[in-house]
Amino acid sequence: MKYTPANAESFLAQAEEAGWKAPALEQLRTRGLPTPKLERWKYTNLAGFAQSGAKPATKVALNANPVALPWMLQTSRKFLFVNGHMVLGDARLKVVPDNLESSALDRFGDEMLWALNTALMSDGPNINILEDGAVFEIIHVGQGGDAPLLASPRTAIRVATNTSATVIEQFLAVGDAPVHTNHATEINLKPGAKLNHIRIQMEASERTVLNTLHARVARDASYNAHFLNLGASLSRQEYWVELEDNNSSCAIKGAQLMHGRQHMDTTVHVDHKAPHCASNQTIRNVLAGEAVGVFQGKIHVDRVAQKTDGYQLCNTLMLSERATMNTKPELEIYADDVKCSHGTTTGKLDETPLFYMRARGIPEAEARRMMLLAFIGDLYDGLPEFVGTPIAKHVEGWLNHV
Amino acid sequence: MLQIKNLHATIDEKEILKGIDLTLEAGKVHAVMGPNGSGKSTLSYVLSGREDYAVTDGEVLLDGKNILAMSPEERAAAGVFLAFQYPIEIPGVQTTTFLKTAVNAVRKARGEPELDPVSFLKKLKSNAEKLGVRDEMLKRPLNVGFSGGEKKRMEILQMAMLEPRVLILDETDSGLDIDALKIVAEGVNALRAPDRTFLVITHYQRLLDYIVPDVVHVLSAGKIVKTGGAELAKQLEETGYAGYIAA
Ligand SMILES: Nc1ncnc2c1ncn2[C@@H]1O[C@H](COP(=O)(O)OP(=O)(O)OP(=O)(O)O)[C@@H](O)[C@H]1O
Ligand SMILES: [Mg+2]
Repeated sequence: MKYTPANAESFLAQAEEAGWKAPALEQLRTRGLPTPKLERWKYTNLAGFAQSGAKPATKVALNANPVALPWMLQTSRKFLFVNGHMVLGDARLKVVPDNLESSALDRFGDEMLWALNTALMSDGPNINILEDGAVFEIIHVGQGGDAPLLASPRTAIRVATNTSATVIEQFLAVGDAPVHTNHATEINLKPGAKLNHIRIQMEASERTVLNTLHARVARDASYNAHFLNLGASLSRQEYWVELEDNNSSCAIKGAQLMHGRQHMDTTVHVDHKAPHCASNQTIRNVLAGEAVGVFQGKIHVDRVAQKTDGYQLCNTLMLSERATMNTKPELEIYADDVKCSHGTTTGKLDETPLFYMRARGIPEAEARRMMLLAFIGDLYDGLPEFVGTPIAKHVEGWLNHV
Repeated sequence: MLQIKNLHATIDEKEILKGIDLTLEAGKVHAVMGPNGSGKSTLSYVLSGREDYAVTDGEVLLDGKNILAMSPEERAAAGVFLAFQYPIEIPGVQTTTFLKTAVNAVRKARGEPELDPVSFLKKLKSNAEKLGVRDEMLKRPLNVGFSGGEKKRMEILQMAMLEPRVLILDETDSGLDIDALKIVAEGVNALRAPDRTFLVITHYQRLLDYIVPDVVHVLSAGKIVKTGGAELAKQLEETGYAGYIAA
């Protein structure tokens, strides 16, 4: 693997100025930011981001009424971050800068964004969930200033033994000027813990949103992620999930809806490290305009991980001839008694059902909308209404525009 | 009521309909029979506006107005309904939702008020019951996993719900068991009215025993080659199409 440290220079200088978090700095210096020369970064190019000249964002007040933000619940515990700095929330639950390192990512050679986050990180929620049924809500606002900024929030979520919790994250924009985000998330689920993690990304165009998430899932625990990607000109989210002990499971389900010249990348890596674990990746992409979509999904099954149940399905609907979808499903299996399946489909909207619906009097636009909704289908079924309803609204809103 | 004049249509540059002249009169049932591949389904698709086909000549007048320039949904609103030979599965769209959207779209286009949910459900229930369509089927995605016969019943249910004026049935009898055939035929007969006209495509006399036609046409190689009364169908059952194959 070849890296080009040069491309991280502008960030390095800034991190040096900050004067701490030395190991991350060192990592960044030797490795730089990922480039398409790296296999895992073949389809997503961070050159624009690396050359954006973005400066680490300092703390500013929100140019809007925080109450008017689209909070989903009255009673949830709320955090508001503006450009990566906590503006609202329990100050005791702040990430302490150097207590979080994710060595696991080294293994995969994708730790550069993590290192960049560590080098520049500002703030973030550090949530230790002990109470069953707790709901936390986090809104990250990217608020444009005069010059390009880089927000580097860090999130840590721990869920205690036999405890269920929900964490909702939204990424929103205030103003149009570029604020890029490089967010790192560390999740730790104790035995029997269950986390529903919902993420909605609605950043403004001309912005880059990078999300690197690393989840460790203990015995009988389950990590359930739902995402909806709508915004940003370039986004990449990585889910690295380690199923560490017997009977743990994860599900990563979501849709990427893109148009114009948007580029959206979801990269998932599930590591089955113990027997009797289950994983599910269900991804739907809808591409209009000249959008570029990426899905890379890997199921890695260790030698000891017998009785693994691994599932991966990525369906893509192309609404335009000029859009491009790149999919890379991968199975890497070292155990012999496993059940793993993966599949991808990419196609246009089927004209035959469209005609059928129109022949029943349903206007073409409405018929298309119904078919697109049907394509998104059951992805978000089973989510509690307070997130399900807003998600459905966002999806419909998007569909009404393409 | 519906006049088809010198209708020529091609698909992928192959001419399938080669000058069809046919008049569907109000209040009457018109049967169309003919060998496989003669263009019966093509005719029904062209009438309902499927875009794969190019009309190269002729016109189709509904109450004197050419419908060929109209979109499928406009034709549906104008009252054209095709019960498909092979109904299409629509995954992810619940049958009830589909029916409600269609009924209200058509009503809106016809300048009628939309049905409120209660009246809609009442109407759906009573029609479904008559056609032996189970409640459970209405909750499933449209046609997905339905048996051949169930799909055909669903076509007639849609027909009843949309209250069309030109009712085209393309081999609705195929795939139906004997009892279902009777139920469906009763459903169709219930829709017979002085301001409605029927085009019934079939291969078998059996359906015509239940839905008795006023006129029988034989379509062969894209042309109507013979027209007669109900007895023509009976005669064809015995002789086959041998005498009618167009050159
Ligand atoms: N895309 C196409 N290109 C060329 N020929 C086609 C195409 N689609 C259909 N055809 C032909 O058009 C002809 C008429 O087909 P159609 O389905 O209308 O027949 P039909 O009378 O309904 O037959 P059946 O009794 O079997 O239902 C057939 O010969 C068929 O092969
Ligand atoms: Mg046919």
